[in-house]
Amino acid sequence: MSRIDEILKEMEYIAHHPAKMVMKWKSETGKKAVGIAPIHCAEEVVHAAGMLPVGLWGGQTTIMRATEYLQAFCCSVAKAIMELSAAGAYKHLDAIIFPETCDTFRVIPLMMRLADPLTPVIGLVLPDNRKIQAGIEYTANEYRTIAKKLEEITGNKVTDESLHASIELYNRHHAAMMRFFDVAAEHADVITPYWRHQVVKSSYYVLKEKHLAMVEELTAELSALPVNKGKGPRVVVTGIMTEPDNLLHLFGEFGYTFVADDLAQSSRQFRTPTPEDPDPFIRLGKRFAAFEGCSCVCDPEKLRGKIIVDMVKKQQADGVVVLIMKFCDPEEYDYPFIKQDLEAAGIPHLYLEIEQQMDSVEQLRTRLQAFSEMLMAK
Amino acid sequence: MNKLTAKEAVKKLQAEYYEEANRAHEEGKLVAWVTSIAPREFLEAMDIVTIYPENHAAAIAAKKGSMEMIEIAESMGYSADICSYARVNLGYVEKGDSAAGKVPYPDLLFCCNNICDTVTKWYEILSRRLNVPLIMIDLPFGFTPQPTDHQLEYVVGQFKNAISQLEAICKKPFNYQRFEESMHLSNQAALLWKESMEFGKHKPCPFNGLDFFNYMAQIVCSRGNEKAVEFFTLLRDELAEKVARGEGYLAEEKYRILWDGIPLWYNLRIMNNTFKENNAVMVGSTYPDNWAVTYDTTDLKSMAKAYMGNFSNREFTFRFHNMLRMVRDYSIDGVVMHSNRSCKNQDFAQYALAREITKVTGVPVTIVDGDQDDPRAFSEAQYVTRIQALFETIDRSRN
Repeated sequence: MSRIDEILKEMEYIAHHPAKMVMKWKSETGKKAVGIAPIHCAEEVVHAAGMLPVGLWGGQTTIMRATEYLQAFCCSVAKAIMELSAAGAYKHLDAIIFPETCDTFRVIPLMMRLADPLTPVIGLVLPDNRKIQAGIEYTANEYRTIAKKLEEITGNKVTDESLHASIELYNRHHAAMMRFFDVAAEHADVITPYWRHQVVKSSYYVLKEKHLAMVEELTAELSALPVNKGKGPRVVVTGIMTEPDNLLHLFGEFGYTFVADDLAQSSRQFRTPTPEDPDPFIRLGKRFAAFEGCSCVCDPEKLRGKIIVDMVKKQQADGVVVLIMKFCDPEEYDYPFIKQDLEAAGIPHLYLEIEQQMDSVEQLRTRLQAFSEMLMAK
Repeated sequence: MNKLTAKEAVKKLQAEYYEEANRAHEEGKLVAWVTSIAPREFLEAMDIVTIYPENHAAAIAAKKGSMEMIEIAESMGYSADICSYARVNLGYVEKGDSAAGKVPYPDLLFCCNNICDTVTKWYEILSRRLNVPLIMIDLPFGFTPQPTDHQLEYVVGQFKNAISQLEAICKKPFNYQRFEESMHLSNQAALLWKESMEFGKHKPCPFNGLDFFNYMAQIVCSRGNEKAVEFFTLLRDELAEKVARGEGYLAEEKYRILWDGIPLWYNLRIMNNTFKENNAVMVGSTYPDNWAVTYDTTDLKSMAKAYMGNFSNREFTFRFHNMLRMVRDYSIDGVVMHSNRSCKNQDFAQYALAREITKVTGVPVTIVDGDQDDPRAFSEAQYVTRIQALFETIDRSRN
């Protein structure tokens, strides 16, 4: 097994065993772990308190208990989080931070407090007027409040020094992820959509120090290989996420390469470096002010379509796959302008509606195949 | 206006309101499109005409014109999953006319997200589509029982920013004197509104609570000016007289109902009939209660807090206690929750709310499926069956 295979296998294991990773961390270090729900909470606050930040992005689970709390027209990620909460899957977390990401995510944390009252759920409300001074200060104060609450719950303190250090580490990690994406696009034979996702997903369940080392080594090993752009379509993918695994395998089957992404679970986490400031909390405010292009972040200019067009141009992609999470209204609101911007730029796109718990992706097969054939004929 | 009943007056006022808005726009006044519980006092201060796409969308649905608009929006790629008010309005933007008539297009947008995050998305789209500036008033959702100081500071910072934005758009200084007057008038109207609704506590209830969905138009559109105070004084006095005479809306009041959520605008008839035919009266609702916004007019923080305080911007315990209070104070026999396909923010707490309310009070709750503006999500037969079942449950508990 090559070193690349070893690293990818390890990442795959991590990505598929979040609970085990949390238990391993707790037993080996005696330290605490804090869950973080999607999309835009700065993990640095948890990291700076010496705890493991754990991404809560739903998962493959049968929805049973969640139906006692949520109507059928709730998105599958929210339902999965609710299910896992009600099933006690989060009970090993010392706290959960839940950002008010959308209308659904206003309510889910409140229901989690009912379903699993012993796991504290801390709300985080990021601003819409994030670029004005009052907004930057507000973001900083929200994180200060979170740090204080975490300290009350866990006894672990965030200092300015530790937060600066965590921000520096995360800046390095985020840059390494962006570099990995570029290099991965040149090695389509090795980094298929499935393996690309394992690299991203594994970052949510181990400390960033460890993940940074893995990604840097993987990128270096890849760079030493001859360039291979693959035989299939080279696309930019946009949406919340590309789960489940069987969807990723289907992309792989038709030879798709993800040359860049605009996914909430992936590059939206990594693409905006945290700027300098003497106050580390203000730094987090400034990063949120500088970020662009998420359906759950206020943007009256609706820049997301243009951002995707730029990605396509930079990577010379053949087209775009828009993955709309069913019942995710922020994404649904964004789609018509994305469509308009892509069409204006002459970029073909495929719209696919997905759910995190799709048992079968067979109904998507024909459409992925047809889109692939269309792109390859050009 | 003296000879008119409140019901007649509100009809006349709404017609005049749209006429005046269209005329004012032609005369060169600036028009803002505004969300329903926005602090419109800022706009009143600048003599800006305010149009409420939510109200207009409700009026279009009441005139059976919502599907026409929805089909336009959906043909543009807007999913049937998104809010039907948004779909109706985005369709209207393209068509420029509707079953409920025209409203002038906006020169600016004034969006306040205390009702939901959906309005943020909707107004972003309007801003780009119509190429007009968006003034965003972001009132952070309350995960804690009370807003934190830094949240209030952020909101006050936004108020000040909004004033600068308005000065730039209107090309004139902010009229602080009119702003203060408007704050006073807004408080007065909100108090009168609250007082009027609270007559529902009386037995027999002096009004048909469904009428409040019509009166609501005035608290939305005119709260903060003289017209609203005049109208709600009329309403308050009318209801006070009825209560003094012991006059009820129904001859025999068998069931007192609390309604949770936005009504079925395209089918108010079925809501009305199912209640009336069974001697049931809607005595209160969690929805109109949202506009009972009062604050200290000398303190922007107090204003910020008041506008953050409606139930859709608050955590579960507030909603639960608010409903418990209503069940007790209005002597409620049964609760109807509208699981409104458009409104995830209101919906996703309903199952838990229903369980908890029944557990604590013994009052039965029924959840009806529907939508505020999209009739495709509603089945009349199913609605009637569920409401009948609620009455039967109440009967059983009485025997």
